[in-house]
Amino acid sequence: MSAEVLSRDRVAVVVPIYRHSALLIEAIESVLAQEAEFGIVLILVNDGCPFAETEATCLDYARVHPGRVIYLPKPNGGLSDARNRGISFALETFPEVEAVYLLDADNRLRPKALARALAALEAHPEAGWVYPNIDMFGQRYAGDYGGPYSRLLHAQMNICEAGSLIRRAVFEAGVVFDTSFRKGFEDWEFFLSVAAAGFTGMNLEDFGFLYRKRPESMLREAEREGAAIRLAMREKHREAFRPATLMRLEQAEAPRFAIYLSDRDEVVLSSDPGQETERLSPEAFSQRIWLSQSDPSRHPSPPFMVVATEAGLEQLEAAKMLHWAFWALEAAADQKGVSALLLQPGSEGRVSLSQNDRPEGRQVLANVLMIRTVLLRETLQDESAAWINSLASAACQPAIRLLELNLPPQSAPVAGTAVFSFLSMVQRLRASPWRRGAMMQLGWRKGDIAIREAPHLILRRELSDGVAYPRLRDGGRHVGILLPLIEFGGVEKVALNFVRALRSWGFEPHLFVLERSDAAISEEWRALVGSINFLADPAFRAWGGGQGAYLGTEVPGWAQDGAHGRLLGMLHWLDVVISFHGGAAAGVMGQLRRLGIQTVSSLHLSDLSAFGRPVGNTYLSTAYEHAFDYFAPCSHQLADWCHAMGIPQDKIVAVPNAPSFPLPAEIAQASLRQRAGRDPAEPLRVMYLGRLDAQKGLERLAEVMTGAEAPRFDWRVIGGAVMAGAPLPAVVARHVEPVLTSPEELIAAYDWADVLVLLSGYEGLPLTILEAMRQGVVVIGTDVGAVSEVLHDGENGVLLPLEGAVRGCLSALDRLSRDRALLRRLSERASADMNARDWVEVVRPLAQRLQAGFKSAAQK
Amino acid sequence: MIGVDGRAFHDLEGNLIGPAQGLPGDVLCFLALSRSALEAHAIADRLWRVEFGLTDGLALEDHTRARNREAEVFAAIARRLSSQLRCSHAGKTRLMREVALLRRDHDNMQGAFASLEAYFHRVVRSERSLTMTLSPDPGLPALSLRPDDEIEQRLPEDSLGLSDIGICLRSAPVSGAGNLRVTLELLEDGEAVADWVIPAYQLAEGWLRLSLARALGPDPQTAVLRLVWEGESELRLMPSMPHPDPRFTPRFGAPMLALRLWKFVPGAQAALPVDGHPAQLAPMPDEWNIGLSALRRAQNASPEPGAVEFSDLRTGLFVRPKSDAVAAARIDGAGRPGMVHIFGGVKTEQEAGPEVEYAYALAPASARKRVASHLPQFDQGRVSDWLRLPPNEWRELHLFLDQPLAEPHDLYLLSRVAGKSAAPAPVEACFFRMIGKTAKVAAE
Repeated sequence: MSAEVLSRDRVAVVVPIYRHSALLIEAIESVLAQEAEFGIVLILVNDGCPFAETEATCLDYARVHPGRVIYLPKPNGGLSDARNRGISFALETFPEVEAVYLLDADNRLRPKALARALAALEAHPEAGWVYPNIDMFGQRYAGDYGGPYSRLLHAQMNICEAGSLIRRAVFEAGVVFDTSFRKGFEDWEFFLSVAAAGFTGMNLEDFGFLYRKRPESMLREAEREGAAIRLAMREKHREAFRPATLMRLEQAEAPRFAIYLSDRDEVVLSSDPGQETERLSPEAFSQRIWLSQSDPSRHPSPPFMVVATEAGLEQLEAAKMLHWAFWALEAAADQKGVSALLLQPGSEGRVSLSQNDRPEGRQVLANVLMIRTVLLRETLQDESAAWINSLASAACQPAIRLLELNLPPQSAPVAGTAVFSFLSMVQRLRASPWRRGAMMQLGWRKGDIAIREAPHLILRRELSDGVAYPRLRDGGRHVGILLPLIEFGGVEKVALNFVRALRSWGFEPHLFVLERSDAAISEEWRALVGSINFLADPAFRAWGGGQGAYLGTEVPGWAQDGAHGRLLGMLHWLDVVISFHGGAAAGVMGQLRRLGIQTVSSLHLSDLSAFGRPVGNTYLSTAYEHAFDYFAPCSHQLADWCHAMGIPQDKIVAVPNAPSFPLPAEIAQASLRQRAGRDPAEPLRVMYLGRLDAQKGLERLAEVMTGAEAPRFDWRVIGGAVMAGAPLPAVVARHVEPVLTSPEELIAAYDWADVLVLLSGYEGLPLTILEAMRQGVVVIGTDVGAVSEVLHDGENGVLLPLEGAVRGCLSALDRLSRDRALLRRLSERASADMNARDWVEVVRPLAQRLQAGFKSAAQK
Repeated sequence: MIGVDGRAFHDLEGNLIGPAQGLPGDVLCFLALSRSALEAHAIADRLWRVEFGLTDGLALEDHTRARNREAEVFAAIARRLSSQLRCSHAGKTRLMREVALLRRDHDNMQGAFASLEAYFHRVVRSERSLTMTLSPDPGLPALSLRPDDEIEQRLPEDSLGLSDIGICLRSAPVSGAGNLRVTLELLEDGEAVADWVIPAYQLAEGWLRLSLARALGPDPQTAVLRLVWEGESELRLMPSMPHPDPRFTPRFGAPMLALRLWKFVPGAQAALPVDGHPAQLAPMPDEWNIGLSALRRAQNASPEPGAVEFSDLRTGLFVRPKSDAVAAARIDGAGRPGMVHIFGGVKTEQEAGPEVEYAYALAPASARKRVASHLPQFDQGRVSDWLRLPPNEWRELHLFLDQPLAEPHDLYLLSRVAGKSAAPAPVEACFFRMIGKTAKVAAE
């Protein structure tokens, strides 16, 4: 072999041989018959083939074509090993070889294939490899793998045949075939590795590759073993299958939404409505749609079309519901084909959602409309537009789901024109000059990349088929705050304070309301969270419907066998999820963890069964202990309980409750001053502040109020009912004042009171006690939950055993009424004890643990 | 092979031929002439097995105890070469036997295929079937080719069995000088499979049919038509429709060309359609098919309106006489220069009724009457004898010409009710596909 011959070899063809001793000749001859203006060296790798004929054939060719055909026998090691052997041999021995072509021993090439493929690599320096369409002989078939190369699609299906021309640089980057893939799909795995190394592929339509198809083949065998092989591939390429990666690829390669902004007459392509992949004129969009119609396997188009105005989307953005709206519309369009969103003014401080499958004309006012592109294309093919035009009438023929979103009045939503804008766009698309041509199927190969028509399903498959929340990761630390409902309860207040504190630690919190679709989302909530979201799954119940129990607490049915995909899809993009008594949501925490999301259960208290047995979220969390990274009990006492119940100490990060709103020092001091200046002859001011339900011991309160009346005692009862229950005792009902929501109102109420009475049957660590103490209100409370952690009898308040609480409370009120010096002493100590308690500080340990978790994940 | 150095093997010139260069193809055996050579063989043999995975290892000729070393070595080499030769001859004879078997199978297959072709030809007159039409759209601007312009139109079907391609001209070029060159290429093979050179003066408004003598083979590929206009004036082609995929458009932004595609049995030869242009370098056909597409475009040349009608059901052309007056249909240009014989089937497609007489006639296209319903005067020898048939009986009708046609002729299909009797209603006289033979075959 002369150096002169070597210098002309630009392509090496590696043929691994095992058991194809007779068919091999066709492969060899097809390589020898290549018409190219460069040298091609053929490397025959005998992978320990048991047939003597293989060796004889290879030796014959090597003898007859010295220097052009190399025979490399080796012990059997499998297809990958044989290819690796041939490739490394080619690269080491032929330094001028620029690319390696992998030809299986039973396949063939057309005469100009390698010249054409090398020319393609030369013309496209960005391509790391050139892959063919698959023209089969034997069993005739022609598969089209054309269209832009997509890593997203490649994660889902094997779009690159091994018979590809691969640039030398790929192998020099250290990519080799994985020899552990012995049962097939080794080429899929290999090209995923190539892509992971930063290379991209390119389809060469008329490559000239011929694939021998027989009824039984290694590919068939691989398909049978498919599940196991795919699992191995996912294990190896975890990064490629992570939702964040898939979402990023989707945005870049196959944006999910074509958003027609009717007020700008432009179409924005994006998977994340807050971002933009491409902006098109309606004409360019029309061509894109029709191109996709002509060959959906080759030409991508977004699987959903959205019609809105830029102003409308800005309004949703301002309401922090833009991404949620797209998510909810997609879920609805999935079911109905068409979905629409109507924005309406609602009540002050509330956000609510209703879903209507028979809108009877209300859809014409919709601000946003979404339609599946498949349905749109069918519509465009219709001879008549009557069916789709009925969208603008009460007798709407297309199935549609209308989401009616009520926003606080200050959002001032205006009536939308999405339906009319959509119909106008449909008319434009129908009138397109491309329409007639696009309806003809012109290519002769069968489009084999069906998933190109529905690329959004790739991400969904990682999310138990749930609709993937359309939000890209932006480098921020996003925390999902999960609540079954939002009214004025203590858990919600704690959640709000978590949110505030997490923000100060650099996180961006997002609110997720799981069970109800009507929530008291105050201006404060809206200001503090990055987004507001409703699960809006009628099947979701935080509690109930379970078939079994764990430690005496029913495991909710949804947690066990609910359709988790919807919630999983809604949360996949977050970094942390904190469940605030989310009940059944515990059922998805394990899946979220597997996605790399840190999960936290915020625990507040055990509920009591009808017979007084502790049950509830605390117990349910222990049932799902494995699914949570951390448990954040609201008191040290509850932290001890968690450990006692079997939760590892390292997972427990106590976040003891603190007052729910900040109190400026000057106001606190002024409050104490005015309290000290009160006339001892005045009646003792006693207040109850909290939820009006049985848990809070309203019967006991009623007895105390009856026994401690004017003129010695002045009473106020402030609160509202969160849960339906028995009617209020009459004496309580007579005093009830509406719920106070703003810090200013609460400060004023605490300022007024000398004493706060809270005779609950069970509690966590009530915020009311903490807030009252901070302002110098003397608390008389029952010794339940973690109350004793802050309330010390005779030191900073009065702590009563639950049994005999009424008698004890009356006695304490009598004593405090008579002994104002005692009242002042307890008041001052209570205020001093609470002054240092601050949410930012109590959340610090949890924030640090979460940060450490990110670092650890990054290092992995 | 003479040297073993660690894991490497060297040839007589000292060149590396070890594992790094693949298995040496010309190793006969390992000749050991000394004890140290035996040790070297042990090393080489192990490498042979480990590196190449060869279970047989490296054959050893142990001549360490040879008395007449030279003679024994030559004998050993001769023995091994002889053994190799025997193997080689055995392999060669096996291959020759396989070739013989394949040849026999090939002969049988060819014979069977020829019979099939003949049968097919007899039954359906080798009618090439129209598989796709992209109709011309006169509402779209024509695709204009200026002199030396070149365009490429990818065909919307694969090449499997492709036999004819029709393109449509909006108008004949103003100047009759120059040529239209058309090439049919298969992209995957990267080869041109047919060329046509059509003189500008032959280009007329309407469809231009480009025919292959043999339908393309069973290996489906992407077919592309390349057109180069070498005329003096503009050539205007009819478009069909815009298509969003630029792979299918002849020019950026231009609509697809109006196209017709015909297919036939892949790889099989069929009579060329009478209106088809044969490809360059293809053997001039001796048979022309005056088939369905010709019958479909036949015009009524009788005074009686409605007398001529193509029937999809019968796949034939009704030329319905009502009396002894002649009913006639005219197929423009169906008589090609060189033709000496035209024949085809005729039948009266009704159970009962009068007998009908059938005839073919030819008249120069240049002498075509302006009024279609007027028959020209047919020259002597350009009209067949009248063939008289009872109802529902099929027969073949022939027109033999004394001299080959020297110029394009129109073919007339004539029928009349036999005798002097008039039929109460038009009689279902039907003409079927015809074959026109050229002089070469007629001479044989």
